[in-house]
Amino acid sequence: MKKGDRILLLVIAVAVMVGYGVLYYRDNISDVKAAGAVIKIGDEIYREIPASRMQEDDIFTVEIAGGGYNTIEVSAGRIRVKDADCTDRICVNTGWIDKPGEIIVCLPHKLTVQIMGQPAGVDSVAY
Amino acid sequence: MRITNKMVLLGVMVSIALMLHIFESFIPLSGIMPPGAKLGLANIVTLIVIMVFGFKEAIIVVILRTFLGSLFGGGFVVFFYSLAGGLLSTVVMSIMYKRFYKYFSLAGISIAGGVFHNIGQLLVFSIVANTAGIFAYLPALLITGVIAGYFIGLVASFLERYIKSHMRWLIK
Repeated sequence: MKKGDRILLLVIAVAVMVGYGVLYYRDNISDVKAAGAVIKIGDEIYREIPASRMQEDDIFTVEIAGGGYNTIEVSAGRIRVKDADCTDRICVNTGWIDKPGEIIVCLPHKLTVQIMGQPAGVDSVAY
Repeated sequence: MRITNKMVLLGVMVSIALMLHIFESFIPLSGIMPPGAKLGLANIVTLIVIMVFGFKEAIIVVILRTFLGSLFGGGFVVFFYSLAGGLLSTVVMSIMYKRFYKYFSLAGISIAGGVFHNIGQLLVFSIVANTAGIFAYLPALLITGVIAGYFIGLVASFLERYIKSHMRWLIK
């Protein structure tokens, strides 16, 4: 192992630790609450599911222009891609997501499913 | 090296890379690995081509390999992700091999190549889907990239030793 290799590994190790630190902060410390999910194809929003609808079970199929489909399932505040005919099926293997910022991607179909976040604080005020 | 020899050798390199590229897609990694993680077996060929021929030839081999690879499975969209990753990693590895060979071992160069392959792909996808959220996968991909890159680099250095002892005509 040469000198540059050590520096390279050190830089990557620091980047990994910073990355996981940010993810840990996002999932456990920051008080952002899940506020529904957004399904996008490319950079166009296909459907938004508000937080109130996330608790209801729902299954629907997204048809991709140019062929292909992704079947999306919502259940108990979580969302996943249940089935898809893309080449790598990475989206299906990602499984359920429910934390703000978590994302499922289907590269071949340019489809993303992301949990939206909303800063917590006062949930509602009643007079 | 005569132009015909070079052409034939590069053709062989492209077909070996293509074979590794397709073979790799049969190995099931998803489920245990983060999305987008792969071995990068075709990177062995890229490294050898950089060593024996140079930057320009490596770029040509990478473009041809990803193009043919996406014909066999993947399609048009996947072609661009692979190409972005492949080109970025080839540029980085060439610069490291040509300018900084004193400081880096082949394993180190291959590790950087693997890591930049992932970064290139995520970059293109974050532009296409207009979301930076996908970079949440980067830390996990960096770890798998380092491990895969290290072993790919080992294979390349075994090949380098073999070429230097048994196939000297190749580097002339």
